[in-house]
Amino acid sequence: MNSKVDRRIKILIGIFLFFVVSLFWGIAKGSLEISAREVISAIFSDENRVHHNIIFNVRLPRNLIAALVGINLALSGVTLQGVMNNPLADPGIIGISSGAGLAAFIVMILFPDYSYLVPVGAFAGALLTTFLIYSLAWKNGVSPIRLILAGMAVSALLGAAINFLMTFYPDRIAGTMSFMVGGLSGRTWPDFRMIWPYSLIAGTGCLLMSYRMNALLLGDEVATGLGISVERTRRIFIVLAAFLAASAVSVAGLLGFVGLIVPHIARLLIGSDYRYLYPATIGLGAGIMVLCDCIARLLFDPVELPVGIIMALLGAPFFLYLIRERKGSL
Amino acid sequence: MIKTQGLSLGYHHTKVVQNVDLHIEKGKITTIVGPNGCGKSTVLKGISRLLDPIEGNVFLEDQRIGELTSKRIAKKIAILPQIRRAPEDIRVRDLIALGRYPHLNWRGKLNQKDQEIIEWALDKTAMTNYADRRIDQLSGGEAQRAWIAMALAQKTELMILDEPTTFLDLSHQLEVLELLSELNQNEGLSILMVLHDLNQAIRFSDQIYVMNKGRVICGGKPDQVLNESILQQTFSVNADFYPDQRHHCQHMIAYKSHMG
Repeated sequence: MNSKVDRRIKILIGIFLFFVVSLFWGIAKGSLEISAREVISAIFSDENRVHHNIIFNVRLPRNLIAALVGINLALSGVTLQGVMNNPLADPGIIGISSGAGLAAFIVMILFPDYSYLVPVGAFAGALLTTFLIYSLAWKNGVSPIRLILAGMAVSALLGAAINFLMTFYPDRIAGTMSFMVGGLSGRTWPDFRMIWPYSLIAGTGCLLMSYRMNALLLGDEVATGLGISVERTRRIFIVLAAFLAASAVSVAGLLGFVGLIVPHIARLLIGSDYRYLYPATIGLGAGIMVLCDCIARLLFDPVELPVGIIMALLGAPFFLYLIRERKGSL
Repeated sequence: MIKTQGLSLGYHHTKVVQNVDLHIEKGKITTIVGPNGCGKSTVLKGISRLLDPIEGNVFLEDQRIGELTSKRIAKKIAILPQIRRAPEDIRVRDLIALGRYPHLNWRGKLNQKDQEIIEWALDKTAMTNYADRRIDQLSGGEAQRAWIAMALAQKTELMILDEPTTFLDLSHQLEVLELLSELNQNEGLSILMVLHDLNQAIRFSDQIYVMNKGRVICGGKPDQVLNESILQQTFSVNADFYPDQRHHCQHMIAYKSHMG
């Protein structure tokens, strides 16, 4: 048993080292290359003012935002997969993408002068849609399958509204592209201030409830027998997942891949005990996101790719590799 | 230990179980039998708070079960439902540790006493050698013992099991029932369960309730309750009864009337 625990701790350490290395790399690389030593000296002193400015005003906030967006989406996904007992669950299932998408479209297409409202609108749209789906699925409690189906129906409805807008305002679609694909171009401190409270509060909430999630995984009846109020626990987890994903989407747009695949990579590496799975998901979500954002900036420098594209291009093959290597786990 | 009074249960306002009065005594093995669809599993759900009563009450030591917090009930009653699942990579020891859940504080940290109880549950169910196995590497009988060990680690006075022998071969069925009987005699664990095999019910129970069409037909000591007319009435079978010298109880052989 000890060796087993040790193994999981080692994996966690490895994952967080990966994150730290990604973060340094992300800060060092760019149109202007800064060496690792210069990064450290620039952070702790402002002797080299150019580097100091670039790092503090551009690279550091952007990489931190990338990390938080990755953490939030991955945590949201892994939480929903547990609560719904469904490996295909991701933040989209509770209407985050469709809700944020429609709200952002309404602002961008109908009220282009108020485009600074897109993040707030996306956040509100995502949460309202989650609330709507949850209410529609309610009937003496909410069963996961009813929630999933209600989510699909509502998302289809909102998708129709988006398509309606796109049909009538084809000339304004171009401006919506970056939100739909998801990217972090130009994000800096104000965006960071918008997302970090949610990461901190909801992330801590998840970590504190990890053992309760383990009990919930045994099925509703067993969990009830263990003294858990299943309905309330499920609602708390869904609220946490909704806030995590909504805050991420409001900053980065509709990044689809992170919430679904990162949890599975974490699961394949460390197993399904949420006391370890949650920290692993946090480290991997942050590390992978930072890494991919860095590649997205560098690959066709000075043209930036939306990070969502890199994410899918690198993540999907790596994920397929893991599935084939690790037999029995999926 | 548990009494039900005029208990009616159902789904979406259709009553499946009507006006059930049960008395589950402390330290005894109580078994509910009855034909398919008679409502016996539903009664278990009502007693284990998985289903709210439409009418009537369930009393746990003279307190209405609806007035107790779920966590307090979890310290008194362990349940092993038929519908359950486990992540395939969970180890036996981690599964059993979850049985300690109602006793943990908000940090969910297992202390020395919890660890000792987990070892005790492993030992009682003869699962010590399987403690580090993954649940998906166990046979049906071993998995059932692991789940019973989890319920046992809950350290309750009563364990409720819904058809604990289903999907097991004869040897593993007897293994599970003998384990429960041993826990009842040596650890003073009260047991309430649903069984399909009437001879097993007779042999392992102190008390039997017979249900049919959502109602309790009769209840009492096995040899008083199960007789030819009751079997004819509930299961539509005839039966001959023989003394079982080894287990000092009755043994029945049933047959359909048209073949008799």
